[in-house]
Amino acid sequence: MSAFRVGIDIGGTFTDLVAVDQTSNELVTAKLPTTPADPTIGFVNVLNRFLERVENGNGPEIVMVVHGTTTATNAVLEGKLPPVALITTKGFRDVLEIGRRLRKDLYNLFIDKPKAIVERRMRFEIDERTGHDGSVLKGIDAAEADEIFQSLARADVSAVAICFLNSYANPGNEIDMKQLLKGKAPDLFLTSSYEICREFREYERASTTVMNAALMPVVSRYIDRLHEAMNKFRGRPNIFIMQSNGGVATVESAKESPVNLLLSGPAGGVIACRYVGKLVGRTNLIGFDMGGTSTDVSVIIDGNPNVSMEGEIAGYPIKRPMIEINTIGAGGGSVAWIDHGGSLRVGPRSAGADPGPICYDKGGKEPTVTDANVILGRIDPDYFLGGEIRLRKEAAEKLTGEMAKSMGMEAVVLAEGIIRIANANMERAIKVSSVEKGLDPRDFTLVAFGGAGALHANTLAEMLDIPAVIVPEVSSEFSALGLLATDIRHDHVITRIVRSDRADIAEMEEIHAGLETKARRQLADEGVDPGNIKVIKTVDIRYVGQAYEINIQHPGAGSGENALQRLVHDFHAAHKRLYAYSAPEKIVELVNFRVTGIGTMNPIGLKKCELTADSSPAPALKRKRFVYFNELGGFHECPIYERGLLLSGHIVKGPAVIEQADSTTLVLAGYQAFIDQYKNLLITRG
Amino acid sequence: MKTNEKSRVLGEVNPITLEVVRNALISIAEQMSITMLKTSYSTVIREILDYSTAIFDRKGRIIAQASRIPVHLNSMSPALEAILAEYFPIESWSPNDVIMMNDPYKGGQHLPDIMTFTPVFVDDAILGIVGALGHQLDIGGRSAGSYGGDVTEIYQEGLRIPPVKLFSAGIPNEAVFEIFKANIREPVKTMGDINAQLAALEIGKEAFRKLAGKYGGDTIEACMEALLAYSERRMRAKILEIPDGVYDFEDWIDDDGIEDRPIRIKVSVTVQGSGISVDFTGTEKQSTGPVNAPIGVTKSATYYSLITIVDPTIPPNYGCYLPINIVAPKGSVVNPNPPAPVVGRMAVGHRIVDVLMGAMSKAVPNSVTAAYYGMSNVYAIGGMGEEGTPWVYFDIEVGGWGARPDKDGLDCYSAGFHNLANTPVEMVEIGYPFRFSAYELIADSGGAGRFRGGLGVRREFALIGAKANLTTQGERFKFAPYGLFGGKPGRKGRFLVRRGSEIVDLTSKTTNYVLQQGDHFIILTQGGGGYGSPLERDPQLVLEDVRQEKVTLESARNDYGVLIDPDSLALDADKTRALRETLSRCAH
Repeated sequence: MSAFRVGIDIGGTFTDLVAVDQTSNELVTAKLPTTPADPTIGFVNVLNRFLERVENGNGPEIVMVVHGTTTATNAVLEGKLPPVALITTKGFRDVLEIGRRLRKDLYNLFIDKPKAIVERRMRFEIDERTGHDGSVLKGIDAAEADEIFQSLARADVSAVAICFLNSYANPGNEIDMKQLLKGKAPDLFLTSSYEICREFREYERASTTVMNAALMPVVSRYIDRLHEAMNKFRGRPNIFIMQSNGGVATVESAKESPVNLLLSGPAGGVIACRYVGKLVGRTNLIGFDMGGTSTDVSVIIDGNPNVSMEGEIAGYPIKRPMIEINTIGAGGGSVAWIDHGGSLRVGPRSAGADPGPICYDKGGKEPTVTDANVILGRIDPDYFLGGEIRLRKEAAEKLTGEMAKSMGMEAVVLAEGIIRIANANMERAIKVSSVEKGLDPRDFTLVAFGGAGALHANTLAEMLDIPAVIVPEVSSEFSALGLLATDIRHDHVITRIVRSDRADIAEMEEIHAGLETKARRQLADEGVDPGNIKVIKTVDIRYVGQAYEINIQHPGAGSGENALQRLVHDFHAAHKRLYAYSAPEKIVELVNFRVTGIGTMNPIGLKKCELTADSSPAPALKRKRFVYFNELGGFHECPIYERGLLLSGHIVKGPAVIEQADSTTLVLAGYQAFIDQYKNLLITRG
Repeated sequence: MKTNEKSRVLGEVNPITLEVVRNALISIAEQMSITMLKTSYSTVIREILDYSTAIFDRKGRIIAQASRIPVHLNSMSPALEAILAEYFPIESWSPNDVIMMNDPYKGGQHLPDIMTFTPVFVDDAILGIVGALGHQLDIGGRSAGSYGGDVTEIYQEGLRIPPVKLFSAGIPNEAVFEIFKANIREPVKTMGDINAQLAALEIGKEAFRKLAGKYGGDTIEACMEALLAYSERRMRAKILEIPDGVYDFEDWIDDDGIEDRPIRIKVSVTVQGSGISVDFTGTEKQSTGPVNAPIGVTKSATYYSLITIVDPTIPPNYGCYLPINIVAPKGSVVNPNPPAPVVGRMAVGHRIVDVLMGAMSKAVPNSVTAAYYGMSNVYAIGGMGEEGTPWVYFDIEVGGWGARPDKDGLDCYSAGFHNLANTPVEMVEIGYPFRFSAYELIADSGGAGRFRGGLGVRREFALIGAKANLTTQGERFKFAPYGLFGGKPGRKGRFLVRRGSEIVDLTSKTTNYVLQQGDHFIILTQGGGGYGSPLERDPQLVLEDVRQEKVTLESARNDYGVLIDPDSLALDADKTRALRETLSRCAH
């Protein structure tokens, strides 16, 4: 009997699955349309499809499922967060709305600021106060708390956030308030700031807290439905959810801290890039994940994705560690339209999975990028998803032709224009992550994945002068593969400001020890074997008087005075490296104590193949077809290869098309694709 | 000559290289900005973000800037040009020189704003200059934070530093450091901020050199020329679309903090072809008190306003300035002669933005807003710490945006030619003897209109330590932010002190008011002006404002003619229609 670990990534258009056989390291993939009304249906469908595919005598065992979800992200981006209330310190209900009041666009008079997640009349004030030193100046008055509860009960809110001034120093009042509410309404979705982000700066903490509260009902409902669905599968496999920090969490943690899931969808792809980069020895990568509805661009430098201690979504600051990813609303399903000025535009609206592009024949009436690719012969209508969905090319041609006619052009010319504009949008997205950060694309390798990534990657590399493109074997389900290439990861933090010259070593160790106990307990509760638990202790440090810290890793071994000296020493060195100077004579402050708990999972392995002696791809040649190539001035009869038949060591010369069940790679004239030992396509000039 | 050869390359810049270099230069300025933020010591820089970083060519022309503060950014070129012309010609700069200055009469802003510049050498020649400007917490002078509202000469405002070499070829000029430290109230924090500024220069210089190493100095120079030409070209093309004509406007400053009389700011804008001439003739002569705007501020306010109105999408650099001509009479509040005091220069500076906006509303009504809060509401409080060391808390509060042609003004948000964050309450309480009791929006403070002006804010805190001195620079306490096209003005600002049950109204420019332990200081900032008649505002929008407690029922009825049931908060559409007809008849 085979045992599998399964990664399931639900995108805007498709639900992807990658399963790894624990013993043979064989990969199995499956792909089915996403079911937007209830994404868990697609989740179950794709699991069933996988089981059908591997079913044999004994039936396979699913050890665990790791899931990447855009449920939280979409709720924020689409403005579909449920109504939330905030309880805060008297006099400060507008902190959430005023924010830091800073504008990013200096010269534009027509900007908007993000709408506060909790509307003003749903922000309740209570007369309580804690000092910055943690002293409780005024406790919670039960009668006043009860009045607030009554107002809450009358109001139509789905969740409640509690964020009091200075609660990072002493969460006592928040705990009291929370217990009072829990006592009266045990099932209420409730987040207190100290639980989710025990750091100072009231606005950023409040923003993170209300975001978490608002996402709780959304994510809980979703996970409960998943759970129910999993009951139908043998052994009720455990589910883990990918988080923004690139590690996974159990469903219980995910329900408690859904704010950690804002990048759950795209994070898998970034981790997969890191994984494949490591296999093939390339450390500077641009991840290009083009799906049906959106495209995510990430950058890996020296083998690691950038993780920042805080991020932003739709203008809301989130003080939680997250991978840096730039997302734009453009993909294969992006709709072409004509604007007021008569210009052709593509996106950001997407036909999504339903109705989908015209060629899906599910009621789509507007030409999309995918329709254009079909018209240009780049996608074979009879081999989409390995023939599972038969695309109607003539329908795409008819409706695109009508739109083209209104513009006085041929369908093919319009289709070519749609692709050109879509590529320009992608190019801009890649530039934001590279060129605009002063990084030169010429120093990077483009890793193309997602359903549409491989079709557009070569053209983009040409536009941006990127010297090499990698199209992984499971290009279309690559994000799902990444879900299996990481560990369980939870971040804990407490702000406690300690000067190095007055440090109470015992107290510091106690803080870290407290967090470590919490981290270990959480992982143990999640069923992680104690032998698989790793703990990383870090401290955010700054010079006394500064306000921004550098995250320094605790030496671990050695303790007490030595550890402190080591931390301080490393801080001076890091300050010098980052900011060109250090001041070893100055006193430093330890500010945030952090502990990351890691529950290691068994690493996956990809099969390494021998290179064939003969580089000719002839055995994989399926046939020839007319495909549109700009650089060749139009349709050109080019060879079509079956990816599954290509062997490591083969070289495919462009112009050519390489097809696999779930994605199509376009190799331009003047380029070649080399199949490496891990079955990646490596496209370079040649 | 080498320079001439380089400029001939101009036409040959590869468009992709140009785009990469443009973004890389902006990214270097941003990197400098982050360095300064993360290494700084005082809340003025690290929380309020009162600093800027930019990159210049060897002629001192600004090429790229971090998105920080327009008033700084658009004044750094004029200052650098003055330094190059009058003090240190470019040939006299050595590698690792750092030039420092804060003199308002040499292109500076006011004394707390210290500019620093360092050259970027590539192959033994200067390719460009990187610069950083930081508002220092204190530069000495009559009161904490150097914000004396009653000073009459620049000599009372603190230490004035003409352009000097703070470092000569990397060797610190210790005498300058010593004089500097001996004249300021918080040397530790201020030296920390100066170090942050120097770190930003170092980071910027190295990144710039690396960029030049990659593309070659000639290419970078050609790119810089091309970028200036591009911005100028776009600016001129847009100005051509504005109807030719002469557009006038005037507005007033409450007073100069010493003499109780208003000060007129008058402008006449002439749009002709692809150029704009801005003439301040008719503006009041320079004031006794410190509201005077040195020419660097006047230029900066003008450049900011016109870039904003003409086309905010043009990459801002020196090329944007070229189509603009400024006439600022010598000896007036927009171009004072020394030794006139200038620390409160933002009063006139903000009003320059207001009059330009007002004038241009006659030419391009859909590209302007009604008046915003119109002042960096500054307050600085100084006292003596337990260990006998002086402390200074400096902060700035903003108010509501002016309403816009198609939407409301933003509530409490940085507007105009400054751009400052607030200091988190938790941060202030850690560092200073204060306890806050409110930070909230003020209902009804936005000017009524078809689109409503943004709301002002109330910030209140008590002194819990021993007595301290309060100094303020406020404005628009007497002349409210104007509305446009029938919109009502926004609410005026106020500073109050509550001592027990007694409430004292402070003047906008108060110097060294003694706060006692337990006193509450209350800041009430200005709302923005409205745009269009309030009787034309969609009653549903008024209802929503009432539901969110941003507009009261009384204001809904009296200002907007909208009747809402106080209990059910339901709109009475019929009565509203009738009331609006009556009100509109009365108005005529």
